[in-house]
Amino acid sequence: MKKYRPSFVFIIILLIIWEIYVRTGNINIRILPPPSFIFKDIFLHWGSLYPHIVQTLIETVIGFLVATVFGFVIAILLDTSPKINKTIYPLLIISQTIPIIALAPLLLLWFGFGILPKIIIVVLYCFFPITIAGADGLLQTKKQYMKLLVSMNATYWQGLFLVRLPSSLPSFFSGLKIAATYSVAGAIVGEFVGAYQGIGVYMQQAANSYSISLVFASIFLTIILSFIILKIVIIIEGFYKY
Amino acid sequence: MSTPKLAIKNLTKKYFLSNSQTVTALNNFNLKVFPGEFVSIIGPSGCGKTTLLNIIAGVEKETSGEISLDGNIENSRRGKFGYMFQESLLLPWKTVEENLIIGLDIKKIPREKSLKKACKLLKKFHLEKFAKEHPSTLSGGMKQKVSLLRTVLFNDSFLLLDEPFGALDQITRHGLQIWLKKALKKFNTTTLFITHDIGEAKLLSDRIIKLKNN
Repeated sequence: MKKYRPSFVFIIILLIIWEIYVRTGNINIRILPPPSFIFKDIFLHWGSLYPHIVQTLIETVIGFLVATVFGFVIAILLDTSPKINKTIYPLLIISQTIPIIALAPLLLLWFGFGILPKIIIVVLYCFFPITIAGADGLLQTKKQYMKLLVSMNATYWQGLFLVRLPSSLPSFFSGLKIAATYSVAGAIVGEFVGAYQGIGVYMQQAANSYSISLVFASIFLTIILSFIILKIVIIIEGFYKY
Repeated sequence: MSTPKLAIKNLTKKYFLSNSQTVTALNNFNLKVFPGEFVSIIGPSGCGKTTLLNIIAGVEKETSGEISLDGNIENSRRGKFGYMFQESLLLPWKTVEENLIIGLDIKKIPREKSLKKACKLLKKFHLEKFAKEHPSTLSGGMKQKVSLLRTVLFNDSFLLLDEPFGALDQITRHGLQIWLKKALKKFNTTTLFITHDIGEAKLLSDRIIKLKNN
């Protein structure tokens, strides 16, 4: 935790500046509520916020896990042969050029208002960095390791599982960390387009009723959830660090 | 005279560069290594020493020539030699004993059996206390010892050693040369050893071959 202390202190300073700026009457409190109001509102409305948080968390976690498996499999597929790589890689790039916000209503039409379209949106947000980082990690296996494997007459899959996958884990985890920060935002985009529950829904309802403080409360919760997921990834990464 | 363990006949290796030029790394090279022999190859950098070992081990393909093992021409030589590189190439996420058995994993030998073999080998060389350590905790010399034991465990009948002590300081290097000499006595091993160091070659070898730049 020590290494995050400077950033934690910096955030506290920013919040204090924000608090003082609003409290001294520089801006209307209804337009920009001070952080103390926002934290108070999170506390006061915790009962109504809680089911929305749980819903968003479920969508995020499932989507993130599916994206991890999907990204991992595609990364291995890209590695198996240059032909497959050349066939799939452009499709991956195309998938990232489509604005997901435009795709979301279609997913809603096809899969309804349930959890599935949100999970698909989280997957679409998250799988790309996981795939690219994983594929890069596999590609960057030390040449000498490859020579050692060849001299031992290892098959492609033996080399992959014994040496190349473990050596690509640092790169793979970099992709996972980027994806972790996208994941909650992905779920909220899905909820914006159509849902019964979730932080995105709560955020919209708060905005429609001009409860700016609750909009900020939702934003703060989104940040906190993203940090929790990122932290879990970092903890898991710690088990594989050497 | 007995059949050579390894016989190389007219071995040539050429690299074809993108600017349509050709670099000849080995030109009609011939060599016979007999069972149990320790042969050192010395020569300046770039004379094709490592290329020679790569070709023998099947890591690189020869342009022309013949390589025989125990009297039979062998075109697929991968897995038939214990090949040790200048770098220890220990996998940092595996413990010493797990590193030792990589070759046995590739040979699909059951885990339990290969761990027993690794344990026995570590005990033989008084390194058993390092079995559960990761390579990051070992000194450079110790890493090379583990790497050599991995090579021996994979194949102890014919070793290809590519400047295994090249990156070490003089004192560690000398200690390891003595250790290697003693260690190889414990196995009935044929060894092809590459070095820059004539003193090292003299100390260890039955025969020294000098390679020249082509």
